Amino acid sequence: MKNRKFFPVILLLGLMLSSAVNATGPRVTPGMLVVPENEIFAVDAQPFVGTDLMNEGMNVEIVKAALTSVEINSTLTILPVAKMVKYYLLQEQVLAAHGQYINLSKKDKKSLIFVPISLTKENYFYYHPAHKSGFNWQGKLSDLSGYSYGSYQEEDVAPYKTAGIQIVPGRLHALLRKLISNEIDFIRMPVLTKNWMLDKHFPLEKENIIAITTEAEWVPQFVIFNKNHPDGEVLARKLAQGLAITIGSGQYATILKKYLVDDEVSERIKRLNDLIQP
Amino acid sequence: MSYSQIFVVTLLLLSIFTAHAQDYVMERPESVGLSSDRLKHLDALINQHVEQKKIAGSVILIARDGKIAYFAETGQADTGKSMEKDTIFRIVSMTKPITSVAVMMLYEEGKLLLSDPVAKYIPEFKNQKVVKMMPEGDDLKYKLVPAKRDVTIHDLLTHQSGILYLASTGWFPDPKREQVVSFYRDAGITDGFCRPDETIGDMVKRLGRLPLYAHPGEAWEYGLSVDVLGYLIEVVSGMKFDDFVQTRIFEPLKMKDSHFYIPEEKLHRISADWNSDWQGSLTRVTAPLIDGDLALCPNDAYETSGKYLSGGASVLSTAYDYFRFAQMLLNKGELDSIRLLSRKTVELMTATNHIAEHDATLLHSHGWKFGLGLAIQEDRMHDVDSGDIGVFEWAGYYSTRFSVNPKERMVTIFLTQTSPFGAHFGLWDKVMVQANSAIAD
Repeated sequence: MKNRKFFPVILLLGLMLSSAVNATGPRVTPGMLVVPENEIFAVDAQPFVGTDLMNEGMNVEIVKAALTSVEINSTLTILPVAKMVKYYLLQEQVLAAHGQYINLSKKDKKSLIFVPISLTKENYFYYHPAHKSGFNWQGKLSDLSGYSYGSYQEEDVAPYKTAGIQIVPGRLHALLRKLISNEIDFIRMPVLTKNWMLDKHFPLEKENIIAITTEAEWVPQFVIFNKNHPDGEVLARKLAQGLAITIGSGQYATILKKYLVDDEVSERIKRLNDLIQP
Repeated sequence: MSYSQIFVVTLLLLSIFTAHAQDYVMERPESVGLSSDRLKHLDALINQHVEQKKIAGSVILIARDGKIAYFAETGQADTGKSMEKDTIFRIVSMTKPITSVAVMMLYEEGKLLLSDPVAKYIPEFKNQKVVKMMPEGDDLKYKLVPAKRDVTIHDLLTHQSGILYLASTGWFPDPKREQVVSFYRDAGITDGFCRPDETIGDMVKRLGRLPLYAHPGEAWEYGLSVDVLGYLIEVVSGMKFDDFVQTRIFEPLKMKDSHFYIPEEKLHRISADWNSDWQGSLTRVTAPLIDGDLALCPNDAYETSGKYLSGGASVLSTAYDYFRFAQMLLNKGELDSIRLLSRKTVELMTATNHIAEHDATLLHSHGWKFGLGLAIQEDRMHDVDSGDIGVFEWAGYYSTRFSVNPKERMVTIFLTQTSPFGAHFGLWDKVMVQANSAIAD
């Protein structure tokens, strides 16, 4: 027990020696010392989520504002691949994930809580110079039988296969290139994404990418909480509460107005309210 | 035409030829301790390969003491077009030493340290993960574990970052590599041999958020590390990567025919790429070469503009231009009184202990180490021998190679454009043997 009084000295000596060793190696960066708080893993999906976007995109702003309104700090880690986000959600049992094409099984879904945070207007699009007469769309996927569909990685493509549609997977940028070069016949994406991607990458093709259907489909986007995470269920409730607060205060509409035209904002909020309060 | 007009035209023609000839000066091999007779073996070797249609043609340049003693063009550059001394080649991975020199210039200027984490300049490289494969029968196929430390600039220069090439699934197939590359594929990462329609920053920022193959410093894995350095140069210098290389390396070294994208007026000087079965069947490559994860687009070399600037693969150059770059390294950082790097920095780049116990075996064999952007011969007991311990060199995918022998004060450049990759290793090595055996002092 006598040695105990030397313990602080030994500890100090140990620390000095270890820092001397570290001094010759890579430096410790502040980022290495920050433990992410309430980390949500999100799939890069511009213009909704992306490291290059102002405030990392519309959906990131919505989630952060909602959680801040209930006094919860959060970190969104944006990854370029849905497969990695799925890995963190199901294998690492992280708090939550966000992304449309994570391809979860029925069994997976049992351990997850889906909190809708926004809606997107989606449509099927084709390249007009390649299909001048358009498509005879009557509202069923089987109307597109025999054509090729550019699908997202991890997208559930079973309905397309059943309808006799050929599948060509890829990233959206690559799919748009294939659409323009007539390697695939149609793709699906939110209208906002179409406008953003064409503005950024294919400005000369803006008039040539045409919607197959006249009416776009409203698709909810979720933050998916993990019931197996100790804070999963609580944080899911808190996010829903926070969304209600930001919608009520007008903050939610303010965020949407940065990205959307005015008449779409109220429609989206109404539809989101319907989802949150069935 | 009057006599005076003929005189003026003759003078003009003479001035054109003189200007062209002034680009390089040839010396008699004997004046720099090389044997003309022995260099004829090199002529015979290449002529035989061209006659047997193993390669379409080549340009070889050998210099000693900074003087060009052998400069020979052989065969065809393209259909109906003979190879010329100033034919332009896709030097692909011979871009990497140029990028590495650019990084070391910023290092000398105090803009960065080799021990700096890449995340200091490119935040996407923060908190990286490494793929760990789980034992067969485990519920999980793999886990993503935190990297033991940050990837540093030194790791990128020495290919110890854990970043791969997608094509490496064909070279060294293994489940972990396949897993890492599957993330690359999903994220739209390419090796850059076909020029993607995006900026280098776009791609590097996605790559930084993908898992590594190995913990930094724990494996020598040839890959996209130098492409990351290209973007890092943009971040640190505030200049576009090609502008930096153009103004800081190509212009001072008078590398007039080295470009990331070829100017229109030089299009006719690009050599075609030729597919060889090394049995006498030689065909001009007209379409992308796709083999598993390897994607090569030799015709991208004819693009006169584009977004992508690969630090690992994009440069087009000539034998003479690359000789000037190599001679600068041989001279420990200077050429024609223009100093790009200090002697100490070139010594650091060519030190043999950067990769510790690993060997740089991809293009060479055991006994070859990797410095900062260059492979260096460490012993003379293995299969690939370039003439001396301390020789440093690198090569390119379409069969190009350069070699610098500091002890013999000699530079050897061998350029051809032959696919597929791998079959030409024997010819490369024979060229090196012929070059070294011409030493006669």
